[in-house]
This record gives sequence, C-alpha cells and structure tokens, in this order.
Amino acid sequence: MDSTPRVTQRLILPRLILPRVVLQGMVLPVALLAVSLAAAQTQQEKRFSCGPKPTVSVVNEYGPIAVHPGTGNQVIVRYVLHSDKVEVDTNQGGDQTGDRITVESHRLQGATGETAQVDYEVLVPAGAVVFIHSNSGTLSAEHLTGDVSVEGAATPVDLRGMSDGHIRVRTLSGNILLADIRQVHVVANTIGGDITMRNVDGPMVEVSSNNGKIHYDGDFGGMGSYKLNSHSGDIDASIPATASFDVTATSVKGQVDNDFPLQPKSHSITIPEKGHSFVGVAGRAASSVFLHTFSGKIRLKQR
Amino acid sequence: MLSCEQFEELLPEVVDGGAWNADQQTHAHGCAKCSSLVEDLREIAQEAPELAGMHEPSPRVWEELRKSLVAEGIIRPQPKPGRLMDFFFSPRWRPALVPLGAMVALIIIFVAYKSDSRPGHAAVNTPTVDSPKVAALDDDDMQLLDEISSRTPALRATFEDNLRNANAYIQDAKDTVAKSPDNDAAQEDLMHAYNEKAMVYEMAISHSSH
Repeated sequence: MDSTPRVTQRLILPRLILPRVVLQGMVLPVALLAVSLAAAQTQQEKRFSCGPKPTVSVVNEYGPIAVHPGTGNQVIVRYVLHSDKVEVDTNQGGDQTGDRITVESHRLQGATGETAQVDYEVLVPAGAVVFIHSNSGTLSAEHLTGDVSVEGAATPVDLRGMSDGHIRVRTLSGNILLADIRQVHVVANTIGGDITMRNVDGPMVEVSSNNGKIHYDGDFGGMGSYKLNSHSGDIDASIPATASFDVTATSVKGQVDNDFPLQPKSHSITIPEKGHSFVGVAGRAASSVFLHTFSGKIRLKQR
Repeated sequence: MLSCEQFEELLPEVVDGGAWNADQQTHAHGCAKCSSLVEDLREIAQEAPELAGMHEPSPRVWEELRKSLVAEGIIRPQPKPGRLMDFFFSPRWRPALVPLGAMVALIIIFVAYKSDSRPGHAAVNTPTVDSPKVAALDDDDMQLLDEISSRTPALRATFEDNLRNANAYIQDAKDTVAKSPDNDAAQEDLMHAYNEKAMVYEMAISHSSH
C-alpha cells in the first residue's frame, strides 16, 4: 500500500513525472535535429602525392584548421562542409623546386558564417612549408618541422611542439598560444589578443600585442634575441634561476617590477629610470631580452 | 529688486503678452542675461505659430521627452507651477521644443567637448594611460572598413576595433615623441605603432584577395 500522503502525491508526483515527459518529448526533436545537421555536413578527404618539403596553403573563411605531421611524401586534407552553401577548391602545382598544394573554401550565394563553415584537418610531410588562414575557429598546428605561417582575424592560434624553421603568426584579436617550441625563429603579432609562450626559445623571438597581455614562461634560452613589445598590454615573464640572459625592460608610462636576482650591467645604452625601466644580467648573458611597453606593466619574476 | 529666479517665474506672463511691472522692468534693464532671455523667448513666440502647422507628436512623446529630460537631470521631476519649464511644456510651445531640444543637445555636447579638451581637466572615468584610448578613424580607414563590410560584414567590427587600437598607439607615441624628440623608446614605439596599423591593412588586403 502506498503510504505517501495524498497531498504529497499531488504535489510531488507531477514534479517528477512532468520533467520526464518534457525530456522524452525533447529527445526526439533533438535527435532529428542532430540527424539533419549530420546529413547537412559532408566529410571529404583528398590526398596529394608530392616531393619532399611541399608548400601547403589552406585558406578558410570560417572554421578551424588543424595541421599535424603525416607520413611519407603525401599531403592529406580532410574536411567537413557544414552545408551546401560552401565549396572547397584544391589545386596541386609546382615545378622542379617542389610541389605546391592549395586548398581554399568558397562560400556560395546566401551562405552565412555558420553555413559557410568548413572544418579542416591536414596532414603534411616533414619539412612542409605551411600557410593557414581563417577568420573563425581555432588555427592549430603541432610537431611540424618546416616554416609555418598562421593568420586569422578573431581566431585563436595554438602552436605546439614545433622545431626548426620559422613561425609567423598574425591575428587581429585572436589569442596566440605557443608551447614547447625549440630553436625556431618566432614572429607573432596581434592587436587585441593575448600572447602566451611556454618553453619557447630560438635565435629570434619577436612578439607584440597592442592591448593584449604577453606572458613568457621559459628560460630565454638558445642564445637568442627576444623582443616582447606592447602598447597598453602587460608583459609578464617567469624565468628559472638558471637562465642566462641580459635584459632591458622599459615602460614609457607604466610601471616595471623585477624580483629576479639580476646583476648590474656594465654597459647599457638605456639609463634606468626608477619604476619605469631596469637593466641587468643573469648568468653569462647568453641571450638578450628586450621588454618594452608604452603604458602596460612589466613584471620579471623568478620561477 | 527681483532676483533672476523670481524674474524667470514671471516670464511666462510677460512673454505671453502680459504687462511689465516696475520691478520686472528694473530687473530686465539691469540684467543683460534676463533681457536677452526675454528677447529669445519672444522671438520663439513669434515663430511658434508657423511651427504649429507641422505634425505634432502624440502627448505620449512629450511625456517621454519630459521623462528623458528628468532622467538626464536637465529638469526637475516635479517643477513648481509657473516655472520656466512649465512655460516651455505648455501646449503652445510644444512645436518649438524639437528644434530647441536639438539646440540644447548641441550646446551640451559643445560644452562637454570644451571641458574635455581643457588642459589638466580630469573628469570622472577619464581614461588613464593604462586603459586604451578610443582613437578616431581617418578616411582611409573608413574606406578599408567599407571594403571589409562589403565582403564580410561580420568582420567589420573586429577590423574597426583593431584599427582604433592601432591609431590610439600611434597617437600616444606621436604625443610622446613631440614632447621628447630624443626619446629613443618613444621613436621605437611610433615605429611599432605604424607597423601594427600596416599589419591591419595587410590583413584586410589579404582578406579581400582571398
């Protein structure tokens, strides 16, 4: 016998049953929507045989591009079209110096940002020169060994585990993450995005952001030249005690703050201005570091 | 002798064609501000009948206008009867309110602009050097933005924001170089700032070419 009082049944049961009914009622439309979306999306794959170190260019108007290392002398491009309002053109050309593969999305009449979206995954051979561009969706690449150029408007950029070659990144407001990048020339510029670098070193590392923050977490290694510049964004560097570099930090209108044990520099063209700049040396000054901002704050700290 | 406030309270009667009393006449002759106000009001009174022929908005519009002015702090919530604002809000003057409102708005903007541009002026919420300035766009920038929006309207705002940021950097660097021409850091800033703007342009051109 049900011992639940009648009033409780009247109050509680509808609360338990109603959500189930509503949920069950929602399952079917959601499933149908998912099926129709999946039907609208088209997945395709194209393979290009090529010589060593091909040039691969992928230009996408909307949607992410992810580039990974492949095997052999082959470029594989997998992509998902989000509707029939967008198409993908591919082309392979080249001469005796090498192959050039271009992939480009074209939105068709009546396409919107959503329907014109194409999601790319690209596999490239070792040493490939890669250019990727998109206005939305993350642009990412990992473990590549050739030159890489990445460009996006509000697009986040995520580059990891790269070695050799040159990296160039440009965004308007997309954040830039560079991680585990060794012995690579790096040039990264953004206007409104933040730049985060973790374990990045190379003979030349130059990054700038207008009003985004710049964060460097590494050892300024590789006997390189490091230039971190901003307009109003803060610059923050976290360095191990074993690092070897000389540093010049200047903020024209903002403040500088150093808690890294630096030695005085014997010769410097910058005359330190208390609170606005500092110079100094750590270890044997293997690398040179310039931190400069117009009105942001600079902080150098020991990790 | 009447104060300016007392004089203003009696203004509606005077401008409506009422007779001056001795105190009013004395005040009007001795106070340039009030006599000028009377002249202006009389001029408006003469023009008002012509404006009355125009389509008059519904009473709700006037009520909303009154509420907006109260909210802006331009008039008090419950003005006393017979005060200057009641005079303006009387049905007779309503047709003149729109051009008058526009004039008042222009004056407020002008005064605000003048006070902002005064050296050493520090208003509430004045941006500090730490917060990026909102910089103006020049003709080239506008042309570039028009080009962007003709191709991809959704990107216009992104490009516009970033052009403004680049321009703000240029302006900051220019100001500093003007103050300290020998400041190498400021020179370098100016170069960086122009490079940033060049980058925005290059990206826009690259976008168009794709």
